[in-house]
Amino acid sequence: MFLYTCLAFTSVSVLCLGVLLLSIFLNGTKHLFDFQITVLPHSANLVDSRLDTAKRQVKLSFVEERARTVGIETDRDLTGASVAALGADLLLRFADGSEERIATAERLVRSELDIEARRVRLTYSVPREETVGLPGNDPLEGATLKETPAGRVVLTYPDGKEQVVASRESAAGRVTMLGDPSLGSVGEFIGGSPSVDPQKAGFESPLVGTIWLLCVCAIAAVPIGIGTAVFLEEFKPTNRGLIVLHRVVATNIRNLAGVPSVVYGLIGLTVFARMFGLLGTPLDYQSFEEYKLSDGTRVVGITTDIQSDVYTLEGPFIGESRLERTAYEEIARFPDSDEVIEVTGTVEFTDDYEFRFATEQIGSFTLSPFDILSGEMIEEEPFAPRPFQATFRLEGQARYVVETVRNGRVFVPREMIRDAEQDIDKVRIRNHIFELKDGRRVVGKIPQLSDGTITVRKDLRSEPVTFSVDDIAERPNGKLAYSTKNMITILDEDHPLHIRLPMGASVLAGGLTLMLVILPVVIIASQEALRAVPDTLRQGALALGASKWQMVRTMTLPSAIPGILTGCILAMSRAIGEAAPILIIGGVTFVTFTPDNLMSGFAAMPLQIYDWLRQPDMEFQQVAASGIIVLMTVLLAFNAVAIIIRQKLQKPLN
Amino acid sequence: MPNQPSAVETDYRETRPVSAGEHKQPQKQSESAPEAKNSSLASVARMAFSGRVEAKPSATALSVRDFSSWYGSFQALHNIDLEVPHNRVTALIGPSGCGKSTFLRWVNRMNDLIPGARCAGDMSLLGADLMSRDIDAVDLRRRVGMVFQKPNPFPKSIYDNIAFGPRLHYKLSKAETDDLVESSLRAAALWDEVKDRLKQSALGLSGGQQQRLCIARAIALSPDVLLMDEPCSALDPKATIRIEDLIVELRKNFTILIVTHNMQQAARVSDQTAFFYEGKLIEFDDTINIFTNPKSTQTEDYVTGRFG
Ligand SMILES: Nc1ncnc2c1ncn2[C@@H]1O[C@H](COP(=O)(O)OP(=O)(O)O)[C@@H](O)[C@H]1O
Ligand SMILES: [Mg+2]
Repeated sequence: MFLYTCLAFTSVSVLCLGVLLLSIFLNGTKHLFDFQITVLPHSANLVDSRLDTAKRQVKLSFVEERARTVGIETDRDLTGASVAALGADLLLRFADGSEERIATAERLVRSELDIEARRVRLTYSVPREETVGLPGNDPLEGATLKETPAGRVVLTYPDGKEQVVASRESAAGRVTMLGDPSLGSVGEFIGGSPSVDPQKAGFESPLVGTIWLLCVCAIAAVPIGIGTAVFLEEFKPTNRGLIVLHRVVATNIRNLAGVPSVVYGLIGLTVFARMFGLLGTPLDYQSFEEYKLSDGTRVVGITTDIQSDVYTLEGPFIGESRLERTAYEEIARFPDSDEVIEVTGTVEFTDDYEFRFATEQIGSFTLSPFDILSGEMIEEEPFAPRPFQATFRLEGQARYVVETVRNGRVFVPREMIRDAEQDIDKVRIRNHIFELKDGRRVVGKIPQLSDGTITVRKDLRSEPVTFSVDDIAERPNGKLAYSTKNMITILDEDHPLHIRLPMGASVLAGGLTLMLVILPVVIIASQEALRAVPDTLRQGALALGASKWQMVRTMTLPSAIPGILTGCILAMSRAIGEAAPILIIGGVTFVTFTPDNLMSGFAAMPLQIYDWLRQPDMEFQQVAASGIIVLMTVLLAFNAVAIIIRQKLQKPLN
Repeated sequence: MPNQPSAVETDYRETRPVSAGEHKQPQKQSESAPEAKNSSLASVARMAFSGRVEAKPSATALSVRDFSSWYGSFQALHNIDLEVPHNRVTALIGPSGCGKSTFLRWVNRMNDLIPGARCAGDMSLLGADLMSRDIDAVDLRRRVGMVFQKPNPFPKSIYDNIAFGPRLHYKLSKAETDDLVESSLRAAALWDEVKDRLKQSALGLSGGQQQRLCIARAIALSPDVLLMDEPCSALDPKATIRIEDLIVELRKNFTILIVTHNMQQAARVSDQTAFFYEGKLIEFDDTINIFTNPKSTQTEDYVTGRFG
């Protein structure tokens, strides 16, 4: 009896699962594999068929007869009564000529009055529309639709291929496969960008986003989880108070496994994305570009102009600018803005990697390679004095940049930037700090520069402070006393492990939040696996003089690894499907980018699937089903990797 | 021969190193034995004893003075005084729960791992105070090997089982490890049986082989003392005999403390026997005396099987 009950329950659940998977598969195949298993519409009452090449579908219009019965509500005698249509109304006409409205006459095909039963049976014609999507990407221009005498609607492609899109074969229609299965479209789907057109919707960014999330999550959760489990199981305290603490911790980890993931989403948002607001919100930071130049200097500003030979940066970054006024002190005469001074003399490239110019016209001066924009002048090796000829003016060939100090503009020669991708990074600045000659310290955001004055506001409500560039104190090294308070950053943006604090809506914050979700599961599974290792093994190792840690490393952990990994697999399966915490952290949908470092924004598969399911266009349901197929495939792949690792670690003897 | 030697005894005697000069006549002793009931056991003890009497009295390996031990508030050992001689087999006997294992676990400080276990008194191994704070329990356990009641081979290859201990403590080359594995397995009389399958799992060995593997594993570290807590209680008689042979063989190089519930075994393998009862050491003497001429009636009752 018990056996049969179990069998019944098992088969019911297997059946449900099977139906679910089958329906997902049938729905999802259209986008994934370019074919669709479908029930073709019954073509008996077809009145019109149209081909929509843009949407790749055939629209079929049908007229069906549908009967309905209307009861007659009056108690009057019906002998000699009849039914007649007048305009839009259907009237019951009594023998004495009086009339009563009983229904609408629109689309009415016929009516039968049943006096005995006191009712009228009405038959209406009802229009019905159906669309049949056409999978695949065979060109449709020039395709024709034709109805065969046998009652089939046949689509003939330009290349002569035929496809039945509606059929009269049976009242229930006909199950058929539309399109040719092909793997090519799988690549198109998983490599494609999002689109409002369900035909073109791709899954790349959520797929890659989820893989990033899972990697972050696994890298964080597995060591922490196993470490915690080892600590709880193998290093049990002997001290009384600690025993109580140990028990409280162990019990609560069990409780945490049951906490809904939305809650973890909130924890992740506060702890990782916002960091309790201690470092401000990401909105408190203004974004600037930092140029790392080939001579080792760094310049910060906002790029306002990019020419083939020069980048222009603007900003209040006087102190950061590597131009020092002292370099020009020997210059006897500065050119006016429109003046061009022709100079001749000698130039040498010194061992300090500076150019020393000696001119007859304006005296001698020193420029570092950075100051000089003329390509021929920049040489890598020092050279002895050699004659030169140049024109000096504000803009142009041999431009030099006295102006920088005045209004915070820096010209960076193209040659100084080795790689525009690598050498230009974003910096996020929260506050600019100026120390003035009168001892004041001005801290604020969004400095504005105009004609040698700087205006700084702490925030929008406070009074702006204005001072002149010349008021800024000078440091002993000759630089202006200007500094910034930047966002805490680890490695630069080109590095995949780039980290900023607070983390904001980043892959790292998302992955760590998922880590919180699965950590209890990982810990509990690892604890169980460790507990299953017989104590005699531990004693054996200890009796041979192993320290506790050696015992764990050489005996307990290797024996428990299969169980631990099984737990990790289950946990990762949970993480891959979580949408709620990702939504709270700020996962996005409809993006075309994939993460390139830990701080990138991200899309995730469950979120994208959820988003597709909300779309009004019914065809997105099928796209969502395709997404689910990809999701499950990735899940299986992850599990396969874990199983392979498990087999490897088990190191079977013989 | 008044007492027909059993198959076991015959087997045993054949492997026994006999030093003819010191040989007493077992038959005569047996005839004059007072306890008829215990005569078989006594003769075993005498026979075993006669086989390996040595001229010099042995130096003390483990010296225990006024030693007590508690689990929480429960006192498991009461004021034990014991001198375990060097390179001898000392048997600990007594009914279950009398504190034999507790005593053994103090010798290699495995009790440190039990919450609430504490002790008082002195215990010194070759002059070193075992209970002092300066003793590193991990280092001590390298010098004091232990074999457990149930064979507990690691789920690794036979080779790795033996090499486990040495690898923890020394940096050994492949050749050195090979040599060590071979000599340990030979010393444990297991080499011939396993030499062709060193890389196979130790879990595939029979129970007796597993226990000998555990002994080999312990002696691979050349410990000063070998503790055995009922090493044969989970084994069949044949495997038991092989272990007993091995113990007698190992006696040449190791000081052995063995807990056993098998009086025959105590009689066969040990030189000295300590009888514990309810946490107290009742009697400690040469094995032959314990089995032929016990001073305490409790001892006599126990070894003759009247209780326990
Ligand atoms: N870990 C322990 N915690 C508390 N009491 C113990 C523990 N181990 C043994 N005991 C108690 O100490 C006494 C001696 O035990 P044990 O040394 O194992 O005896 P034996 O090995 O002689 O059978 C027993 O009464 C037992 O209940
Ligand atoms: Mg015991």
